Amino acid sequence: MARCIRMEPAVYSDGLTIVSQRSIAGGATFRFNERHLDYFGREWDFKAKYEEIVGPAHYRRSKTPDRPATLALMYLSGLAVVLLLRDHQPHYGPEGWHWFMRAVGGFIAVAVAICATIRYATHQEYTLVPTRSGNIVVVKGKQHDAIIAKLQACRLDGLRRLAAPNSANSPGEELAKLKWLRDEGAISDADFQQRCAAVAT
Amino acid sequence: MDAPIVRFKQRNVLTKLGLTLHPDYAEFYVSGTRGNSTGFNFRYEMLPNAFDYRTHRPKDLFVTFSLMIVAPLSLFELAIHPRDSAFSLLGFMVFFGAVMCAIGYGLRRMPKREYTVLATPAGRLLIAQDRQHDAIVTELQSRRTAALKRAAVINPLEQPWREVKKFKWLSDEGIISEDDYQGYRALILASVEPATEKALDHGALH
Repeated sequence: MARCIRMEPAVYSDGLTIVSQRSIAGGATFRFNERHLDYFGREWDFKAKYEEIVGPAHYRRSKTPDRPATLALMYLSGLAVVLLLRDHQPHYGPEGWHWFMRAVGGFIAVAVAICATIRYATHQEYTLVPTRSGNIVVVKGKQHDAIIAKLQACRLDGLRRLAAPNSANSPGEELAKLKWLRDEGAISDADFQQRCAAVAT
Repeated sequence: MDAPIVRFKQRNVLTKLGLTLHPDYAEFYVSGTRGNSTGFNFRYEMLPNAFDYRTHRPKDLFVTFSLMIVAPLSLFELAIHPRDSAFSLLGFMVFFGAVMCAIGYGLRRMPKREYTVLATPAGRLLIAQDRQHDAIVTELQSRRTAALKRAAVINPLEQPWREVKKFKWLSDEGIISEDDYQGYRALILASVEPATEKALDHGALH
């Protein structure tokens, strides 16, 4: 689970909605325009037309590798070894054994606390929404579901706009397009039949 | 008259970018720090629309780099100074690391780090976002427009509906007007036999 700072979506008078996902490991900003999405990611900024965003069946899931926590653990282990080697006080007998156990226990406690903190701060799970321009990364936080729902709603709106007759399509292509739009849920069966009849005439 | 040959050179920290614009095509190369150089040629009509431009922000390594120096250094210092207090040495190294990270965080905004990326079939064309950026983009767009205008002719060997789509796309791109598109469409479809069209429709329905 990612640590996202919740930001209420800013809605402007012209219908523009801006949603930002902020987290320590980096989040994205989504600007929902009327016809397209402006995506400002950690490494990539691009625009995507809603009708070019894929459906939920093509979403992918991923997570960041826990490399920072692993590196921190390796460093702390090295530190422990160096500190033990440079300790010149003799620790023999039961007292020495107790001292060693306390030192090891203290080290493990500190190492676990530090590594857990680093992992908590840097670990992210996210949903990848592929588009023609690149992947839209939605961090799994409090706003994840709202952003995905908004993307899907905007996609359906974009697909509905595609239902309008396109003069560059042959009648056959137009019918195939309408069938695909019906399968995607963008138009109803009744609408499909009506539009098919219009194309046929 | 052919467009003149124009050369642009950009430098982004340790990367050199070169773009030579010929009348019909452009050459692009990028060379890195280790003498590695790569490049490709592309035709202007292969360039994307301004809508499809992307901005790339390379990963920030200044802070990571600082930590990668300080962490082994602290272990080394502890190992070679066994008589010194470990706590004071570690405290100093933590302070030193914080200072290094702060310097790295400040430095990351100094170089021109962002690129505009234009995806072409041959590869990604990178334009560093510096003073020359707007001039390069404007020049590329004007040459793309000129190249697409040259492509606005009917190809009799191509399938009619594909040709119609080409002119529709050119109309959407703003290369030809809507009236021109309708004229081309009527001209192309006049050659399509109604029987063929009906057969296509029948096939699509089933």
